[in-house]
Amino acid sequence: MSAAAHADHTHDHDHGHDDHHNPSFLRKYVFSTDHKMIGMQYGICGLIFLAIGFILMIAMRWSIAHPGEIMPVWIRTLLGMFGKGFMDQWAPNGVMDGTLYNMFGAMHGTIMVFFGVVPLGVAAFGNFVMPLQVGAVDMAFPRLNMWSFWLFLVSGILMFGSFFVPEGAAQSGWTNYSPLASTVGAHSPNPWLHGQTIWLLAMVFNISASLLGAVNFITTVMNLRAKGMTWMRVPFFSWAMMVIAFLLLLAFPPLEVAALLQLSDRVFGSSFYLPTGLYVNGQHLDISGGGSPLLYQHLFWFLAHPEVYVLILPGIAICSDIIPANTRRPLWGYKSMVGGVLVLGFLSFIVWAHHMYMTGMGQSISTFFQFTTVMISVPSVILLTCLMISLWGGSIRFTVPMLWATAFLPMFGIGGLTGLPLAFNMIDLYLHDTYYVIGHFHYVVAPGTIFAMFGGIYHWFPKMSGKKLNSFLGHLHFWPSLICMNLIFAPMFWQGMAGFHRRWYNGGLGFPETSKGYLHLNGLMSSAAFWLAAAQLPFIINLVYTIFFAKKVNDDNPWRATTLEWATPTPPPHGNFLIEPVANRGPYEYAAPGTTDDFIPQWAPLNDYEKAHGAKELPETPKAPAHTH
Amino acid sequence: MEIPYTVQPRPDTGLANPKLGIWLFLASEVMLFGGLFSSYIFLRVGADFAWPFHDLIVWPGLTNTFVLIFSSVTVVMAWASLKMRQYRKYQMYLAITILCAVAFMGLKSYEYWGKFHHYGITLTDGTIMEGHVGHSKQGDKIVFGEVNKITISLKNPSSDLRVLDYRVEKNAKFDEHHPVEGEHLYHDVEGKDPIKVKTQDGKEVELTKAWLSEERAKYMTAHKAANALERAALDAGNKEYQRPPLTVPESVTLEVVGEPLLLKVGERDLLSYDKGSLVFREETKVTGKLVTDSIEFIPDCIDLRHAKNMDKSTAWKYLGEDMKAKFFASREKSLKELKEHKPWLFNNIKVDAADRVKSTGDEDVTRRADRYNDEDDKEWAHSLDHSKLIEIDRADKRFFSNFTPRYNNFYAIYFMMTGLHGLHVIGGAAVLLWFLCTGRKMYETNPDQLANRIEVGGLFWHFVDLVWIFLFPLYYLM
Repeated sequence: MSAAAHADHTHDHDHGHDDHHNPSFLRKYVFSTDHKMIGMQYGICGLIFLAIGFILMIAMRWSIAHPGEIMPVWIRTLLGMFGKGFMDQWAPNGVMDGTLYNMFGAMHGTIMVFFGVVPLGVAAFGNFVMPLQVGAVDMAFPRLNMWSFWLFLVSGILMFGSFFVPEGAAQSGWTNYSPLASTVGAHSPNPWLHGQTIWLLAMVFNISASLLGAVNFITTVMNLRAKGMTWMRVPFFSWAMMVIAFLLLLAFPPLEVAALLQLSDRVFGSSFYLPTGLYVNGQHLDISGGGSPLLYQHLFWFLAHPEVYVLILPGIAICSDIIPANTRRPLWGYKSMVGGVLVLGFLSFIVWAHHMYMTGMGQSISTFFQFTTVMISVPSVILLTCLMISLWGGSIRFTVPMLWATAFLPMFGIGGLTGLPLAFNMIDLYLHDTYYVIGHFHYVVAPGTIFAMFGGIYHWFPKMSGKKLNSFLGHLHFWPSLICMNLIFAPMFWQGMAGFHRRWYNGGLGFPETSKGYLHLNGLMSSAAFWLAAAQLPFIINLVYTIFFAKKVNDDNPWRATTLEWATPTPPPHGNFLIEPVANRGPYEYAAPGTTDDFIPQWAPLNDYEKAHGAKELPETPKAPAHTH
Repeated sequence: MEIPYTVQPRPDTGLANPKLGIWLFLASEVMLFGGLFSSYIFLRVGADFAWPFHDLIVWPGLTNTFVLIFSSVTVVMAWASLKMRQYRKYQMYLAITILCAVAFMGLKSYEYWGKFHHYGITLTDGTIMEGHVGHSKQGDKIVFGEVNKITISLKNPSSDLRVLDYRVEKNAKFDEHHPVEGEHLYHDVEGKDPIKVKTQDGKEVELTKAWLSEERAKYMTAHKAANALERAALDAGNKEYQRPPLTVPESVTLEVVGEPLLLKVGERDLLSYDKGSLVFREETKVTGKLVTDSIEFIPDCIDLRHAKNMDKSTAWKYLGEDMKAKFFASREKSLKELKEHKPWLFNNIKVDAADRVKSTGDEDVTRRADRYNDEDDKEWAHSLDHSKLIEIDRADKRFFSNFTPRYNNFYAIYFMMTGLHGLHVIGGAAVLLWFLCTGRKMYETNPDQLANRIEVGGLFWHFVDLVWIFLFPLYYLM
């Protein structure tokens, strides 16, 4: 059958040729079309943005714990990334005020979600690992892949650049609810030069980038799977990447609509989200009115709820590779996990309005979304439970990636379980916009996804560079991070239940009755945040040290793992495989019978035991055209 | 390295990569336009104003529908010609497709142009007058004269010298009663050279950007020095530290030397204004004397659906008793005609105390009766020609705009959706044009790949066509 696929290829037209010559530096490292290089570019950008978002958080936590006090020199030094002019404008005396806090708050959320976690978790790991895992030579559309990265970079530069326009960056929270976000700075002489407008433009670029990436991911998984890589042999990681790509593909366009309509409100003066008779700063706005802020929320959350799963699924996906490799057992419940992730993907499209219980959209609608929200916890629990049971009875190697993966399980568990009460209308009315919600979703994303991504970096770094990250520094990174994360986020549940509002820039000083008895926690949480910053230093040292000074390990499969990415040379060359990649069996054949080793990789030829139990050889590939690898 | 299935389909999925890719892309596009159509429904259902319907002229939309359908056929013919290896025919069909796109966009621009030049003014009592802005005198601008003092903020980073761009001078030849076409009472000052001003300390300087940025630099230096002192004090733990006032002022006040300025400004460039001063958005303030702020307007339609009292509408103050009588005559006539021809429309009609039709079911009745335009009554339109231009007192205005997204949410979503659709037309046509111009080489080496490209481009083109087929009835007919 695949003979037809090869026979008609044209071999003399230009595009297939690039790899036969030594590509120039620009083509190899900058305008690369190679999925691995693009993955690394995304990864580096993602890490940089995570660091930026983290620094914003540090400054905010200072303001919460020490409101009105001058920021210490080390925080001011970190904020030096914005330059002197910025600080002279927004924090002239070195004290953070409400405006700067709002700016940092909005941008912390935006940068972490759209420019940190998604690019690192989905675009970086997905780009680097997924094509290797399914046994593809590259992504289906390498040049679109390059465009995806460059559009992303443009969006990132625009977003970061929005700090420096005269009116400063967006200040209306990462959700950018209208009418506030539609009208903030509406009186400025040039609405295009307001951070809020630039936020919207940057998101249009970001969405285009993710659209190209999503099309590429799905086509690659569907159409470029290697010989023998039937659907039930595709590793869970790649399944999850495909589901994520579907979420990005279908959920992002409504956000684009939301952004375009808000952009129109801001710069063309329309009233999509602005009701009749709106007063701002004691002035009747010169608008036609007749719109609805609810429309924005619907469009926004139609994206942003699936986005939550875009944030968490990479974490689960990465753990599903790390855990079997280190417990030396097959992934427990692979099929139910695949089913679970598909159901999860579908359900994530019909739960969005549980973010909107407070809007008074009506009881019956609230009840519907309450129902679907409780329902979606079922596949989530399936995924987490399968990962947990996978640990059972394994002879676990607590390598550094495994540490992160095992920590991920309870951390994500806490994040998920604390979300359940929020699904219920009557509880959410009380907890809405409190620190309880902040604690809940940070447990999911920070010690959840980010821990898993650290695990992923330690896990795949040997494949990317041929060098293993230092284990001692890895421990020094992991343990303080684990402790600090919990010290930051666990107290948020208590504060939230006491009624602490998420947008208080002074940590609750203005509300002595509400904050009574819980105010002292601010100091503890902020100190933990500062120590968490220190805990990232070993990681940075580790990266620099390993890249420049560590010795190469001559091993293509250092973890003794089974999936196809470990069948490539290290680092994988352009075109990936020297052998023809095949999948002779499922992806998690650890502790399998019929071998003296404790694992059989997917690409290993069938052994006698398997043959005796009915496994059939894959048909011979017809002779490949002369110059393909 | 060669990526498999770029041309031939993969046997088990039955799809080649580009085809799978374009279908996925279209799925995303469906969600994009789906979001927009949902927004339309949301806005229309929740509208608290008279949702305009049957307001757009049908023929350009209908023509465009057929143009696009025709182009969808030709793009398929282009693909079929390639499959039959008829390159000339392929070129011809593809060229026709692209020409259709050009025609579509041309007609669309014509429609947009008409809307941009059509205005609506909502009066304080809810009456809407539609029409054109007269341009013989001030138009819809505010004219402000005898400007002798300008205050520019140094603190606000956006402040600049835009105020100088609004300078006009009075046309000496202008005859108010017999203006010649194209002649304006207030016309732009040519050249717009910098003006001479006197600063507070009596120095005479030329008001230029360089001078302003010098002043701003002085302010910033003092500001930064004070910041550094305050930070040092706070770092030293001195919580009682009081920031001393700056030695330089936060704004400069300048006296105009020589001829005072005459300015013509759009209301939306201002934060506020009164009889003696204007404040621009960038916080620049000028003092002088308001010359006029009324709006020159040539109405072609009056819409009383949301007027508090039709009989006492503010509009009659401007249009006169004659027009009022005509309006009510016409209203009676159209109600009678409607009752005769479409009696079912009146099943749910209630009439309120002011004898105004309150529709509970059908917008059509109120629209036809309470909205009166020059198409309904050519004679009325004729009497409202240029010479009958009215000047509306700005105090009577609640909202004023041309038919842009600002005007109301119907036009906002109309421009958003048709605009995005137009961008898709341009994008699709550009890709097809690129195939047309560069296809020869690929045709000679790999005609099937070129055919695939046209197929993929054609799929997108059909999608664009399909969107329009939904857009047309939604905006022009419903």
